[in-house]
Amino acid sequence: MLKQDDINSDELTDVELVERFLCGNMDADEEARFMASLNADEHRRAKAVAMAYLVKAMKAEGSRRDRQLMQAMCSVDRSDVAQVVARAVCGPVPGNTAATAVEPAQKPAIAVAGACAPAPGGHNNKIRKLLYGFFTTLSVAAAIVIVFWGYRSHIDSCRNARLADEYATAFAMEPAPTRGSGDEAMARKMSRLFARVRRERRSQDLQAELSHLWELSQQPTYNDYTPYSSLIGWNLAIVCLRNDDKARACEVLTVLASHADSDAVRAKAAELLAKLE
Amino acid sequence: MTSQSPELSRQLLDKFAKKEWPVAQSWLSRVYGLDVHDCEDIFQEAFIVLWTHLRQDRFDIHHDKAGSYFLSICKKKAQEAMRKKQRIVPVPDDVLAAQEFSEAKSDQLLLTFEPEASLREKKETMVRQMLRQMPEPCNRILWAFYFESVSMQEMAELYGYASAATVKVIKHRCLEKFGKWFSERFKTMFS
Repeated sequence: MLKQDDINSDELTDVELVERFLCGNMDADEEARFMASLNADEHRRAKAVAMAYLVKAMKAEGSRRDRQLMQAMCSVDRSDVAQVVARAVCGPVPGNTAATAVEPAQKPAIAVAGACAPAPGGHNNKIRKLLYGFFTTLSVAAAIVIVFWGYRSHIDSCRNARLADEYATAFAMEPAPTRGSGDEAMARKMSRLFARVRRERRSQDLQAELSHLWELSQQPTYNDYTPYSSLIGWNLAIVCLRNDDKARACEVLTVLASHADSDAVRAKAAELLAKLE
Repeated sequence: MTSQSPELSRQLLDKFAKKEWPVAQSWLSRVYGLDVHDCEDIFQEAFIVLWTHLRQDRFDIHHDKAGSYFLSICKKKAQEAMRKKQRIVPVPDDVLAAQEFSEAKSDQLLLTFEPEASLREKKETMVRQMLRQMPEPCNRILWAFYFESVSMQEMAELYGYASAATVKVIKHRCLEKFGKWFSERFKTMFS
């Protein structure tokens, strides 16, 4: 950055001399010498002329601005002035109804304008701080709740998956007595399906398929899936737990615990349901 | 005096208030140790006083400059506030006039060295146009020094510069830039 010592002393003298002249602080002799020096030195003359233009233009332009300001002040009333101040200090003011709502002579302009007016003793500031504190606390609390909720969900999910793994192999497929080659095909199909349940970690397709079969097996009329009803239900509950669909798993287990055709399935379903609840 | 539309008036006043508020706030808080709410109160009271003075013709357009006049009102209001709070602070020098630049002297110099009237007018118009777009901090410093006659020390206090010497350096640099612009502009124009 430029320091004062860096300024050439001759240049400073030149500028100061021109300024002295432009302020009318030179006596006649000094003025004559100054003008003569400008006559003799083109560089100095150019600098002095430029400064004279600057001062003259500033006088003209500044006076024009001040005259405009005077006119502007004369053409607005006190409430307008209050609005102007409020806008400068606080930004745009929404509407100006508050400006006329109070006695202007008694109130300072910003208070009259009704925008960001500080009450005596910094009352507004205190409110602002309180609000800031309140919203900060609220945000922190919300963040804590979200983190806690997320953590709990994760723990629940892990626990459900662990229970699913633990109970997945509780039953080997024990179909009802077969009635021919059609039953054998069905048995193979069910066996493959249940093997998938033991093998796959998460699968929405598998859950959808088992849900469909579970509905078929629960129908009042006998069908190919009726003998496998308990196993379909059991495997559906396991898949639901792996897919973190605890509600659906509990729903199926509740049915199994009361209506499964095997005592073992009923007992295990009740046991698993108790652990889940 | 011709009247202007209320909308234009409000725009002009907005511009003036927005220009003066940061200067006044920074100056009042630095020199008088006032908080932002006190600064707001003083600013609004000073603005009402300026409005009253302008309407009552107590402001002399030939002598007073609106910017420094307004800041001197702010200063008086700040001193009143200090008295009410029974706090004593060193009183800074008057914001108004250190040395007044004379338009007549500028005319004298220009008439001597730039005798052609049309050329003078053309150059003056261009300089006035340039003044409307002058960047900061030159805009602030040169206007304060050459138009509002604020001293270097006062500028340092008003605008928060370290010292009068710092302001002097900035002003020098701004004058150099102006001189360069002036010579290049008119060399191109008349070559």
